[in-house]
Amino acid sequence: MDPDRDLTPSGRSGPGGRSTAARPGAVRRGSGSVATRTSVVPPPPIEKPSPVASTEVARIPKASQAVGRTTRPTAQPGVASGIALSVHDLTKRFGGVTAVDSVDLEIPAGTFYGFVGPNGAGKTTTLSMITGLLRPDHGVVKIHGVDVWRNPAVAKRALGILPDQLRLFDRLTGAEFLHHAGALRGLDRDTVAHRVDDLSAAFGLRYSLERFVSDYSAGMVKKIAIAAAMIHSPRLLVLDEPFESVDPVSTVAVIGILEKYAAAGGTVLLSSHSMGLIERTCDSVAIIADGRMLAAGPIAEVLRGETLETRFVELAGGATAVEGMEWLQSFSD
Amino acid sequence: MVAELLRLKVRLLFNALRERNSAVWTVIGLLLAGLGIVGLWAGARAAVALDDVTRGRVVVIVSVMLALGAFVVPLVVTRAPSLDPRALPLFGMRTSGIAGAVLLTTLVGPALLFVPIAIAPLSLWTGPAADSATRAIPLIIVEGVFAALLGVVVGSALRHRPAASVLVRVVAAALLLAGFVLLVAQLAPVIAEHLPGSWWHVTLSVVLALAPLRDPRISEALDGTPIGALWRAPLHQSEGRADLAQQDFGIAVLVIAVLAGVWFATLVYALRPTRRIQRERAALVPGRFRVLPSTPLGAVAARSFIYWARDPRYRVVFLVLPVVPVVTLLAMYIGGIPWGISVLVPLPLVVMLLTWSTLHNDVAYDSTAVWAHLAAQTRGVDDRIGRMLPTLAVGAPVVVVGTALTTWATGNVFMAPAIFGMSAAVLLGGIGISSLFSARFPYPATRPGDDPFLQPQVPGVSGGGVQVGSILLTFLVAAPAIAACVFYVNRVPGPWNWVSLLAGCLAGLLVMVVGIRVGGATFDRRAPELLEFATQH
Repeated sequence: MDPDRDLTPSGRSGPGGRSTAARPGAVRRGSGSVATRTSVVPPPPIEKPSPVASTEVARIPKASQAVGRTTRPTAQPGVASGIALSVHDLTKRFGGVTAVDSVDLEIPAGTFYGFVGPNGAGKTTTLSMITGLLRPDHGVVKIHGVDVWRNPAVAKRALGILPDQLRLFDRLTGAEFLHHAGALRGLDRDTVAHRVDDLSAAFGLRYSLERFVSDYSAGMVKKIAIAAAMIHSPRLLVLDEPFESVDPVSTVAVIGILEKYAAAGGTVLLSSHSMGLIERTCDSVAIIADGRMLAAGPIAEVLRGETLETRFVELAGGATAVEGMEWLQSFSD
Repeated sequence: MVAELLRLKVRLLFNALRERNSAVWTVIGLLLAGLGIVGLWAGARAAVALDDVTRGRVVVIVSVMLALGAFVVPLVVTRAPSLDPRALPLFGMRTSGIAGAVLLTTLVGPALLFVPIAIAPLSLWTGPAADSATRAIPLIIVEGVFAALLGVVVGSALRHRPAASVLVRVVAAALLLAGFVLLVAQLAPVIAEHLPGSWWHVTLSVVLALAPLRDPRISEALDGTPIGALWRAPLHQSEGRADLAQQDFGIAVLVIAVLAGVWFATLVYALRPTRRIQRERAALVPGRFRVLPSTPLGAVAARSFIYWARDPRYRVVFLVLPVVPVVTLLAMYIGGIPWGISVLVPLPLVVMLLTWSTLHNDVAYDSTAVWAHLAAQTRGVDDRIGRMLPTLAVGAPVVVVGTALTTWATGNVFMAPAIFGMSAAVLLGGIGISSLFSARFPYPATRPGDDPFLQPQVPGVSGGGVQVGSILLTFLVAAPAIAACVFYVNRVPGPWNWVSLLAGCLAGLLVMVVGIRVGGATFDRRAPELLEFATQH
């Protein structure tokens, strides 16, 4: 897409781009804004718990047991202890095909967790089931101890998600989109306005807030969707392919935000095709292929001294595909 | 300094002619202004021949129009002040100096047109009135300049508010039109005398029709306003009311003082030191979200309202709606159904179409974007109510206005309760049924961004059964009200019109509440399946 589309439509910021990759000025500006802004973004995970507990107990008496378990360990600020996400025996079949086969996963709070796998390995299916978008055939998903499928109202308060391949309400402007996300989460207007301001600055979207999301470039759409996923300051962020078609500058900026978020006790689970990126940024990694979890754990343990790419190909068994096809080496004319 | 400023102004004026578009508009504007001035001069000359009463009224009306025009015309025409006062502080000028500079430069430019306009009355008046008119000329020009300056200020401020700007333009046009109609009404008898005698029956009816506008109270009321008092000073002088003429001058001076004061205040405001406020832009809450509460329900409702305005799939129904009454009435006329019956049909049909078409497959309209509701675990009831609010907001006025129109068409006031009952049942019942159906039985809809007239390209599933079912059920809700209405029309003894009202409202409300409740529960239960459905189609 035309890089100029990333610019403000009214041209108020002049000819300089905010999110175009090629400009050194933009790099400095982007990372600079992250450095100053992110200090504002992460604290929300800490200030959240008490409203969660009070409103939920009032609304769903049956859930009080689960609420007690979720909120207590995270009540003291700064220290994010316990297991952010635990997945047990997660299974999904489509017709006769088993897309996800008895997957187990446990992510401690405060972890930056990478999720890799070849095309069709079941990454998106797994993440959809974890985030409550796709009903599993079997298995349990717990977010900070609350079952996503039994007690979604409580579990999803602690969860922010970026699904892959799903539409957005893209006839809204950027500002409307974020306000929609915030109001859906029940945040009051001032909080939303304040966070929209912070998020738009952090993601370099400030001058695009009045344009329709449908007019955004692919990378900007990803960014505003991530911003919307963060607006209610969740404890766990599940991002499916967050950096697909996002330019390198914005990727660095977003990773900066996520790292601060994780440092403050938030947990990030993200999937990506970019092995290098996962290897550089994540503390832990899980590798999935053909619906089975091949390896999961701290990155050093999984890699055993190799690069993620090698290890990934080794585990996923991609090397065999290169054999055969000798006919391609003897040309027909 | 003065010469510099004047040179700058002249340069700015001529620059307007260099750009093709603005040159065309400048020439058109000048031509129109020239025509107006010629008309004013000719009118003043012609008005000598009028009788005293008519002349007095005409002068009063024209005075108000001219004085208002000095403010309104610049307001409507202007796009930005040609020499923006905010450009001047940079040259080390103080506010008083800037005010002087703006006044001075204003005199060179379109404000020059005030001179021939102000001179026009001289050819109308004789004797002491002419003296009075002469004395009024400079004051008229000064008042006009200040009014025009204010008009420019307001007009350029309005450029940032398109909606208000349109409203102001409409009001301005209406005022102008009203003035002309009043003027023609006063002159109608005189004009009629000059028309060929063979037209007498047309002219007579026009003159008679305009008679109420010749009510002396109108011109008396206008005469009492301070607007355009200067123009009326010679009139009062000629009527021998020297005291009134003096008063007119007094009022005019006062008006000029007020105009100048207000203008100076706007100038000071425009020149106030401004700091760049970092957060201002993003802190603005976008329109719909400012009006509706910041809750899940409010979010869904705001989003629905916005989509109603922006998404052609919702708007398409408004293209069809006006055609429905015409077609049904025509069809029934051809079918030989009596007018008294056929006139009752369009309103329920229109309400039905409005409610049903926008709501009964609303979740499928979202396509996979519905994940946002799922991610936030939006309660089904919130989702249902949020989605139906725009339908209710548009449907309710349609029902009220439609009831009034239909009642008027039947000519029987006592039909109103029955008509209202039927259409309310269709509206509320339709909302209930559609709220249930969109959560329970979605079928492939036109995708977001596709041509709203296109059928979705999905093999196998058409949703025909769902469509027929939801329509039939909606009419079933309205059936008691319709039955009662039929009884009433056929003069079955009993207060059937009131029965229809009661039955329609009660059944409609009941179905709406139940539909939203059950639909909400269905949405809660089936939200992941709804998303899966959207992913597959």
